[in-house]
Amino acid sequence: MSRLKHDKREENLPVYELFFSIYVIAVLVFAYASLRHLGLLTKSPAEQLMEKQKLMEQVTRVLHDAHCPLCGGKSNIWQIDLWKGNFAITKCEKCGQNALWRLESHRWRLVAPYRPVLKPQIVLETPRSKEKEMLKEEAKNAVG
Amino acid sequence: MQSAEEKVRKSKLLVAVLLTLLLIGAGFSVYLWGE
Repeated sequence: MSRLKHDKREENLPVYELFFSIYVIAVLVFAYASLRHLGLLTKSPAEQLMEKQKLMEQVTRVLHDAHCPLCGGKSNIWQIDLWKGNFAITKCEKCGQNALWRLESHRWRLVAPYRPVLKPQIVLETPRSKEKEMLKEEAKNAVG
Repeated sequence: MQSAEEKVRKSKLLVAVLLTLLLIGAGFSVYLWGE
């Protein structure tokens, strides 16, 4: 009887471990989901804004009098993008060319001279409304 | 100097971690008791 009980206990042992493992995993998943739902895994919005402000101050200080990579002239900051990649674009006062800078390991590095997207040369006229044309024709007829 | 919002956030995080450890500990106690 005792041997039978011992055998039964040995059979039950892995089941207990399995249940305990499942329970621990479930608790950890629940804790992770709760933390994520409450927004405790990421930094608070105020802290993120402070970081962005510090980055903005840094980029205005570092790239204020940066030299143009093409002509060596003085360039000014034209655009700053701190949304995902932390990019900055400087525009040369002398040649008018742009340079793209990127923040890598707390240093602003020159990526490449940057040419903005060309604007379309042909500008299509907006179609005039029929009512306006009718009014113009009526005015012409009245004058004539 | 931490802001009040930051303190609340850290205390919430601490409570969540402690609750998780408590639940795991309770589960482990049940596991030992069942064994």
